[in-house]
Amino acid sequence: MPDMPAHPEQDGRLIDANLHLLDRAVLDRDGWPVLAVADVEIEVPEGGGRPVVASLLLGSGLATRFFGIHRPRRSRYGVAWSRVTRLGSGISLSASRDELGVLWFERWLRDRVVGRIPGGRHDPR
Amino acid sequence: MSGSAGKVFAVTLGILTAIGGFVDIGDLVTNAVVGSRFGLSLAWVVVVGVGGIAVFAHMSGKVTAISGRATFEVIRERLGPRAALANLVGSMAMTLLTLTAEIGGVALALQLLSGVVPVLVVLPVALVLWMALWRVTFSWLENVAGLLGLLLLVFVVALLSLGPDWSALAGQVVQDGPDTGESGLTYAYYAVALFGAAMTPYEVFFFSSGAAEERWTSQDLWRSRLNVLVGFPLGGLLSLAIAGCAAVVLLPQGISVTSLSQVVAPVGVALGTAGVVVVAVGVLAATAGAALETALSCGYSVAQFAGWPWGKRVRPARAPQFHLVVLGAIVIGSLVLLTGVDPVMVTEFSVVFSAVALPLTYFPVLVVANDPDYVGEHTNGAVLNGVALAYLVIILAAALAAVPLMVLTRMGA
Amino acid sequence: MKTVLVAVVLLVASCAVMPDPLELAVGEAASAASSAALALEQQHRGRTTGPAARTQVDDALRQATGLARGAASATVPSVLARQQDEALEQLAVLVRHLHDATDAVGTGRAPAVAVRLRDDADALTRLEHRIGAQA
Repeated sequence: MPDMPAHPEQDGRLIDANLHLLDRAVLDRDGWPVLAVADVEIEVPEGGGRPVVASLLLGSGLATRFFGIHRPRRSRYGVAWSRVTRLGSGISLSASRDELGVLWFERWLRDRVVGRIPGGRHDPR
Repeated sequence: MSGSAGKVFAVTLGILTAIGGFVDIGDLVTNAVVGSRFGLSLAWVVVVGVGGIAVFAHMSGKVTAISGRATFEVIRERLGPRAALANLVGSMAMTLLTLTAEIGGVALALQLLSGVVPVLVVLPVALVLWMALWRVTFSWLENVAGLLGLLLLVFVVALLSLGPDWSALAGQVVQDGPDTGESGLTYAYYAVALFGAAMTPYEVFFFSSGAAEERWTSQDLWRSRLNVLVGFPLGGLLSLAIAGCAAVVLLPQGISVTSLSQVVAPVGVALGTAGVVVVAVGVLAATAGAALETALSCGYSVAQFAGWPWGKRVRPARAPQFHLVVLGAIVIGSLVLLTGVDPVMVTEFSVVFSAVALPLTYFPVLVVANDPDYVGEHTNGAVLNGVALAYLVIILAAALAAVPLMVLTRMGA
Repeated sequence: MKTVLVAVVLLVASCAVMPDPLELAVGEAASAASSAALALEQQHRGRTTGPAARTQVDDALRQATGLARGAASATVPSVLARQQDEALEQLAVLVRHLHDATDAVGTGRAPAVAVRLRDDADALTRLEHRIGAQA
C-alpha cells in the first residue's frame, strides 16, 4: 500500500471530494442551508507542492441542470475553504448566510414579494 | 409530574394525529372502490402497504433525526445533481397530482355538507389553505387536522353497527383472487392502486421534514417509532373499515364506487344523518390536512434539493423561495381543478403514479439508512434490512406493473 | 417511439382480456341506478342529509349521461348490434329517471322514483349478462 499523504485539514480524516464534498448540503453558522456544493476549486501552490482545495463553489443545481443556463465562472458563489468549520452530513461554514451575499434572487423575492404580503414578516401564530 | 404528564400528552397527540393523518383522499376513494367491487379480498394489500410505509418512514425519520439531513438533501448528495433532479421532477409531479386530488377532495367534502358544486369552491378553498400555510404554526395545523381526521373512525363504528356477517367477511379476506365478475388483471390493478394509496411518498417527505424542523435528535427516535408502529397500523385499520363498509352495504347492491358521495353512503345506512355529517367533516379535515402536507412537501423537496432555507416554523420572509414553491403548487393544483376534471379521477391517477414514483425515494433512503456517515451506530440491523429489501422488491414490482396494468384494464374499468 | 409502441401493444391486448366496452358501460349504468335509488331511499327514511343525497343523485346522473354518450358512439361487433340498440334505449330511460330523481330528492315522490330506478338497475344487469354471454 502506498504511503498515504498526511491529512492535516480539519479532523485529520481522509476526505473523498466526490463522496464527502460534492452535492453535500452547506449550512451557515446558525445551521441555515446555503445551497449545495456544485464544484470544488483546486489550486496548485505557486512554488509547487500538493494541490489544495481553495474554495467550494455553491449552487442550487436548478438553473444549470434544469434550464441549461451556464453561469460564467466569476459569477458563481465561491466560499473560501478557510471558512469551512466542519465536514459532517452537511458542510458547516463560519459565516452567516446574509454576509455571504449569495442569492440575489432570494433577496429580491424577500424584499419585493414575500416580505410585502401581509404577515410575511411575522412569525406564524 | 406535570413534565411527564405533558410528555404523555405529547406522545398521545402524536399517535392520534398519525392515525387521523394517515387517511387521505387516496385511501378514502381507493379503499371504498376496492371494497365495493372486491369485498375484503384485497385487505392483504393494505396490511403490506402499512408495513411498507412504516419501514420507509422509520428509516427516513432515523436518517433525519441523527444526521439532521432531510430526504431530498440526502437524495441529491447520493445520486448527484443530474439523477437527483430527474428524481425531484418525478416526485414533484407525483406530489402535485396528489395535492390536486386533495384540494378536490376538500371541495367534494364541502359539496356533501352544503350542496355547492365543487368547481365553485376550489378558489376559496385554495386561498384558505394558502393562508393557513402562510400564517398558522405547524403544530396547530397538524393537531387540528389530525384530531378532526379522527372523526373518520366513524367508519369503524358504522361497520360494527352494520352487524355484518363476520365469517363471510373473513372468508373474503382469505380468499385469493377476485370474485366472479371481475378479471384477474383488474384485481392486480387495484392491488397496485391500493398499495400506492397506502404508501404515498409525500407522507415520508413530510414526516422527515417535520422531524428536521422540530430538530429531532437520536433521543427522539422512540417517538418516531411510536408514531410509526402504533399510528400507522391504526390508520391502516381505518382504511380496512372504509373498505369493509363498502363491502357490506354497496357490494350486495351492485354499486361500484365512482364518487365520494358513494364512499360515505354506507355510514348513512348504518348511523343515519348524524353519521353522514360526522363522516363529511372527517373527510373535510383529512383532505384539508393532506392538502397542507402535500403543498408543504412540494416546498420541502425543491428547497432541500436546491439548498434554500425552508420551514414552516419561521416567518415566510426567512424562506422566500420555499413559500413561493408552496404557493405555486397550490395555484397549479387549483387551476387543474378549475378545468372541471373529476377529482375522483385525479385521485385514481395519483395513487397509481405514487406506486410508480415510490422507488425514486425509497431506494436512496434505504442506502443512507445503512451509511454510518449519516446514521452512525444506528445503521439498519439485519432484520430491518431483510424486511426493507423485501419491500424494495415489492415496490419495484408494483412500480413496473402499474402503468401496463393501468392501460390493460383501462384504469380498472 | 418505443413507449408509443408498448402502449399500442397493451391497448390491443386489453381488447383481448377485458370484457366488451358495451358490457362494462351497461354494468356501470346499473351501478349508477342503484346508487341513486339508495340515496333517495335513505333520505326518505331520514337517514342522510339533503346535500349528501342530492350529491349522490347528481353524481349518478352525470355518470349515466357520460355512459349513454359513450355507448352511442361505441363501435361494437356485429353480433352485438341488437344489444347496443337495447342498451341505448335503456340508458335513455335511466337518464330520464335520474333527471326525475334530481327533482324528487326530499319530496314525497322519492320512494316511487327509487322503485323505478331499482327496476332499471335490474334490467341493465340482465342486459349486461346477456351481452357477456353473447360476446
